[in-house]
Amino acid sequence: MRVLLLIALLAARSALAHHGVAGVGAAGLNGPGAPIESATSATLPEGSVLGYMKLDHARYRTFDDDPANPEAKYANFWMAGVGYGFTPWFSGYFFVPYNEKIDEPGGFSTRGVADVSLMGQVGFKYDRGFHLIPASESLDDLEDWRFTVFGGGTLPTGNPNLRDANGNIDPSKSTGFGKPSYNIGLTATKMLAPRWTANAELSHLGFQEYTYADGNRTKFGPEYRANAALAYRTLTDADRKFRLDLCLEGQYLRIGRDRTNGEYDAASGGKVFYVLPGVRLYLDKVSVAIGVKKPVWTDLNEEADQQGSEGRERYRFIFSASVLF
Amino acid sequence: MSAHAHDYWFERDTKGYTLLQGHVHSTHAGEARVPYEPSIVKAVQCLRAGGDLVALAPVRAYPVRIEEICAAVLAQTNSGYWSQTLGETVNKPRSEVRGAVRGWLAQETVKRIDAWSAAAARPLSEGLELTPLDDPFALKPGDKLRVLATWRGKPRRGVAVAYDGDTRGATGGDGVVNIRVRHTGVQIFSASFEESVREPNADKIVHGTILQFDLK
Repeated sequence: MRVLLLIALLAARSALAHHGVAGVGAAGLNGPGAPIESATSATLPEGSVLGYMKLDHARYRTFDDDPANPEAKYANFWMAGVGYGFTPWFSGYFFVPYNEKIDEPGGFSTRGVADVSLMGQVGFKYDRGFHLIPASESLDDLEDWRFTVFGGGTLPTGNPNLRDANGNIDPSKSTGFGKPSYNIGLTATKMLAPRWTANAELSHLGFQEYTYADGNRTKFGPEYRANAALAYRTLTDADRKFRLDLCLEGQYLRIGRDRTNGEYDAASGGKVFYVLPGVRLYLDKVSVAIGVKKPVWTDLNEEADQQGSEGRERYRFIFSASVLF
Repeated sequence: MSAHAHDYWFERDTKGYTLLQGHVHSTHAGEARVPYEPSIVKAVQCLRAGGDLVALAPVRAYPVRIEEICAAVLAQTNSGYWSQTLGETVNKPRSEVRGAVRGWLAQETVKRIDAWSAAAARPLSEGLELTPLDDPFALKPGDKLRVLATWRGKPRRGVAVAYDGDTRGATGGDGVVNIRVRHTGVQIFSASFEESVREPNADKIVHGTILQFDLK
């Protein structure tokens, strides 16, 4: 029996905020829990379809009260997606992000459909040897170490050449990268006890250099993530097919410097550690996750000049919902 | 209702086995021992140490006795028709119970394994039956056991299997499910499925089975 079900995934991840990639998670009433945001080791049941949406609302700290110097105020990274279980061990996903990057009055705000992404995920487990995820598993099978490798990329469907009132292009405000990006990763998940699940993710996001309409060439810095999460099943009501988990994630993010015209940019890149507490509830075939993510440690390259970047958020509100058909 | 509703088990002594019913090994509450009509035991199979499978005549008195030590012993029971009203469950056909909302026929097998062999890795009956595919006596708490569910001698898909009364999974297309043993001592695996029927006395036949062995 595949007691499992649902959930899912991933994220708008971003340096100056327009990267969108995907990772996945799933769980049933008594099976492994899933993190709020990190990728986890659940594949979709064969032949099933997952519908997914996510909002990552980033509220930035501001430092300059002068209205003549508007700063980044907030951003909304919306994502809609669909997944399909081609086999018990291979799932494919397609995501469409919609980004809003809002400055204080007088600034340069942008919004629009960003770069769509495709992702494939292979699931395997360790049970007296490594095996691809089989079609049928018991709850006891779900207690085994489980892993996925995933990879994918974006297609340049967003607009990389949005111009402000003065006709200038700010690549960080664009809704597209201009060229495909790629994402690869590895997850590991283990039920530590009937109510406790641990999850880890290592992933990398890379970009290509793109020549903008103004002739400048920009290559965003690569991202490396190391995430760890614990999920605790607090409440289960089998009759109502309801489950409530408490989750706590730690997310380490290292971002390389951006490069413009071959030169490394100042005020870009650095390291951030986020803490993300949240809850995930399951009701029949629907799963909803809510959490608030805060940077608790930062080592940005030029922190004072990196307003509006990762690590300079006041908080990020994470909401996702998914349904499995 | 399910296999959990009838908790049969064998107790072994130096001369053979006693078939008992009750809640000694149950995770749900109830009387330790619940008497049953000895006539519900329809057949007994004994797998001898040499690999021969023989039918034994049980001693028809409560509690039913099997006077032989076997590598594996299996009893097939049929406790007859049951009906449920809004207030109670009675051991009568639905056609005889006023206000019955559902009725079923309960058929079960109970198997105890005491010695492992290749023959013990095959089903002993045509009823619903759980069979270990690996030596269960080599298990340690925390290990998983591959269990095969068969009905009419063939693998049965989608059979819910419980360990100590806790449903852990259902069999796949090959009739197999992996179940983790959690402790030493008496191991109780149970399973059931329902077969729809159209007859005045019942809506369905509930096929249940229990697999039992001891782990030191």
